[in-house]
Amino acid sequence: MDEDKLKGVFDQIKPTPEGEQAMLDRLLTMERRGRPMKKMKKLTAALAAAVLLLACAFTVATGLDQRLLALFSGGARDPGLIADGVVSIHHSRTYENGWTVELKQALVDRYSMAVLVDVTAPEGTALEGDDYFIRFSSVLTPEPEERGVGGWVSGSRLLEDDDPKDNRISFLWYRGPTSFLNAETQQFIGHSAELRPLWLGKNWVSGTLADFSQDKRTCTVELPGQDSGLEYQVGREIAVGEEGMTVEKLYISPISAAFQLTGQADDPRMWGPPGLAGVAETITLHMAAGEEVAMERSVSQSYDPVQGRGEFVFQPRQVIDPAQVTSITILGQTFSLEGLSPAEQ
Amino acid sequence: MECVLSREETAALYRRHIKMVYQICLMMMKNIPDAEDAAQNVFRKAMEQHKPFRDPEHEKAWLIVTARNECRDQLKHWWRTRRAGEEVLERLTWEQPADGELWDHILSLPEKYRMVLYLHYYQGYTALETAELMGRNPSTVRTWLVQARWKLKEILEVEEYGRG
Repeated sequence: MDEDKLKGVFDQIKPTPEGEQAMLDRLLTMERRGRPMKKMKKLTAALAAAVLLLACAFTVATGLDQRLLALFSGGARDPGLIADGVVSIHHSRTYENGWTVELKQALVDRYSMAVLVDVTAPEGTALEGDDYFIRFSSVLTPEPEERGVGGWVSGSRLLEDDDPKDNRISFLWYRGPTSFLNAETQQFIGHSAELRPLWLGKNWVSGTLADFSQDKRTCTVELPGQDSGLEYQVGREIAVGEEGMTVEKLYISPISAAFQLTGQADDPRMWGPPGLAGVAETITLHMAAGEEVAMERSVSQSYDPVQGRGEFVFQPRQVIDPAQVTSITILGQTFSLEGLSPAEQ
Repeated sequence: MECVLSREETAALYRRHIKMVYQICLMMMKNIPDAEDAAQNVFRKAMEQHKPFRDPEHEKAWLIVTARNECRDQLKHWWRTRRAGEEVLERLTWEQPADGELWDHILSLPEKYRMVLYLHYYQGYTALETAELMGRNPSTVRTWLVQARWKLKEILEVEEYGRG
């Protein structure tokens, strides 16, 4: 094998001058997030409009990192359904301790956010095992003016590692909406999220493996303004324990099912048996094609004791088309959406 | 997204390294549109990199590692399976037809072999430096270099025999 020949071949690999300039232009304007548009110029004028539509759809679909779908044990038969909720982040930071944390993409709807995170340890560190977790500081802005105490649920899921001997692992870090005592639940749509890695740990015995908390810089992620979910005003009674509550609102998006219940002030049924504890296992979405979709996990449960109003958010086992949901079963009681119109958003 | 480099600094960095980043991306992705996407992402990451590069060698090494990681990430995506069957839309031009054939043979090698050949024989990194860039033991990289050369030789000989 002639080395000069090899060098000669590699040396011929370079972008055309036009291609090189076009890539730089796109980079500087930061205008594209998907594939280059260059090939579009080669299409005939007669096909341009139709192909443009296809190309746009493809750009959205290809923007999705499939690893985000690990949130759903049932997967996604049509990943295009979540395209509006996918946000490219691509924010990488190497810390003084030699670790690099890269935020890749987020999947967001009104009540739920999941962020795909790659973590790289210093060279020579093998990140083996399946019990790592990562913690983030997260602030949604703008915050409500009179909000009182707020809280949310967050956690992380370690993704399957295709090379357990190397120094890289990936997570899905997720959080629910912020519930305030003196304000409405803060939604993700139309807000910004300021994210900052705090630490990475390996099980609760080993404790913290890498501490990022001293670095106060945040990554600001502009969340989508478009809500891909449908909201219905239901206004029907549901039996909870021995008495009724009212199902006020129902919200269904490709990645969430949420409802609002109103009971009494300081209503003990909101938290425990025989009330709403374990309600997640009782929820089923019924689809137009006859399929039934159960819930993967509870995202958020909040309660305003003054108003006697609770808000419950769950994540379905698979990505769904909200327009195909015909009814929902909660605590063994089924509520049909027939005749209900989604609220204007 | 917060950008740390100015437009001028980004353009200068791009001009210095686009050929190398593009070569790595094309070698990894095996088609021009994906290579352009990946190369652009590499420079976007460089724009957002908060830690300054220590020196030109650090800058170059960072881009090599980032380019490889970016391509590996891209190759994990579900939609890669869709593109795998597509024809390459734009062809490379070669000084001699044999160069194009050799390039095809290089692309037929496993990724690790392509990278070591490129880094060692074209970029001139030693086996030790190549090992550092690839996050592997130097002895592993030396073995890969030998295997890559043999593999390529094997392919070329079969090709020659087939033609004869």
